[in-house]
Amino acid sequence: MIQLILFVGLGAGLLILIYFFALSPEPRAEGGAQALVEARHALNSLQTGLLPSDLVERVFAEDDLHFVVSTTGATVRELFLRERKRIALFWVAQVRKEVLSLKQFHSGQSRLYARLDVRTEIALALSFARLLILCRVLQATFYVGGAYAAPRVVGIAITAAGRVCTVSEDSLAFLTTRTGVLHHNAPGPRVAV
Amino acid sequence: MLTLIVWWATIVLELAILLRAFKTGAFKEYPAFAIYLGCVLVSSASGYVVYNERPSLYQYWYWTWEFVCVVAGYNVVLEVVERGLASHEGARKIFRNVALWGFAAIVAYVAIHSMLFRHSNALISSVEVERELRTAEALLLAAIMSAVVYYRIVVARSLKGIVVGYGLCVATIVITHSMRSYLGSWFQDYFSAIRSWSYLFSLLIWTFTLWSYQRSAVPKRPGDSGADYDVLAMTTREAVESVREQLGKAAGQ
Repeated sequence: MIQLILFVGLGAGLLILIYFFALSPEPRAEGGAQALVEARHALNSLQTGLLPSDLVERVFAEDDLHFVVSTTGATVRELFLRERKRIALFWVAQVRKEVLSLKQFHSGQSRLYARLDVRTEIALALSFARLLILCRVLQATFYVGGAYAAPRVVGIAITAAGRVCTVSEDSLAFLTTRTGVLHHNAPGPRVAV
Repeated sequence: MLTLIVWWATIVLELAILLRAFKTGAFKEYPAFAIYLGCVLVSSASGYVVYNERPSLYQYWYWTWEFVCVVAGYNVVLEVVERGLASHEGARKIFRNVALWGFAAIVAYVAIHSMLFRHSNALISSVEVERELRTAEALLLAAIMSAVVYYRIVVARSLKGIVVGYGLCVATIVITHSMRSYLGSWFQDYFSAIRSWSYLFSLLIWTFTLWSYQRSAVPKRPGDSGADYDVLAMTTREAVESVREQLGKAAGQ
C-alpha cells in the first residue's frame, strides 16, 4: 500500500509539475544585453525599492502610538493602529519582493555559467526558500498582532531592513563595477587614429 | 471496438508526426524523439498484426518492444537535456550526468532485483521493472522542468511540447503500473485503456506543437571565468544568509 501511495504520489506530482511547466509564462528573450538590463533593474530595485531604515523606524515608532493614545479617543486610536498594521504588512511585502528580485537576479546570471555548482545552487535555492518563508511568518505576525503587538519583533525587523539594504548593496557591488566598465567601453564618438 | 479505433488513431498520428518532422527538419533537431516515435510506431503496427495472428505471442512481443521504447525514451530525456539546456553549459553538464548515472543505477537495481527475487508471474515482474525505469525518467523530467522554471530558461515551443507530452505518458505509466501491481490482473483492462487514451492525448500535443517546429533561442553567454561564478554565488549566499538570520530572529521572538 505504501508503495502504491509513493508511486501514485510521484506520478501525480509530475502531472502537477507538467501543468505549471506548460502554463509557465514565456520568459523574455535571453541575451547578453538583456541579462545586463535585468541585472541593472534588480540592482536599482534593491537599492531603491527597500524602505530605508530611518523611515521604517518612523513607521514603527512607539512615540506616535503614545501620542495618539494620550490625545485622542478610541475611534482614532483604532484607525491609527489599523493603518500602521497595513503599513507594516506592506513593508514586509516589499522586503519579500526584493528578496524575490535578488533570487531572480542570481538565477538569471548563474544559469549562464559553465562552472555552475550543483551543491551551491541547491543550497542557495533552499536559503531563498527559507528566507521567503520567514517573510511570510513575519507577515503573519503583523497580520495577527499588528504593528505594535511585539516591540522586539519590530526592533529586530528594523535592523533586518537595514541589513537587507546594506547586504544587497554589498552583494551587487561587483555588478556595478562590471556594468560601469561596460558603459565605459560602449561604442561612442572616437578620434580616428 | 473503441480500443481499436484509439489504436489506429495513434498509428495515424505517429505517422503524421514523423512525416511532418522529416518535412520541417524537426527530425534533425530532435533525432532521439523521432527514433522513439519510430519505435512506438513499429511496436504498435507490428503488435496489431501479432495480436490478430498469434495472440499467444502478443504478451512477449509487447513487453520486448516496451523495453526498447523505454530505452528510446531515456534517449528522449537526454535529448531534452541537450537541446533544452544547450546554451546553459553548467546546468546541461549537471543534468546529463544525473541522467546517465540515474539510468545506470536503475538498470543495476532492476538487474539485481530480478536476479534475487524472481517472480513466478512474468507479467507482474515486467510491469514492476518498467515501473522502476519509468520512475527514474519521471524524476529526471521533474528535475529538468524544475530547473527550466527556476532559471527561467527559454524553451522552444516544440521542445516544450515534447516534454509535456512525454511527461504525461511517463506519469500515466508510473501511476497505472503501480495500480496494476497492487490491484492485480482485473485492473488490466483499465490499465490498457488509460494508457492508450493518455498516449493519444500526448500524440495530439506533439502534433500540435511539432507541426511548425521552432528552434530554441540561443542566449549570448557572458565571459565565463570560474571566478565570476564563484563571486556571484558567494555574494548571493552571504546576502541570503544575513537577511535570513535577521528575519529569523524577528520571526522567532
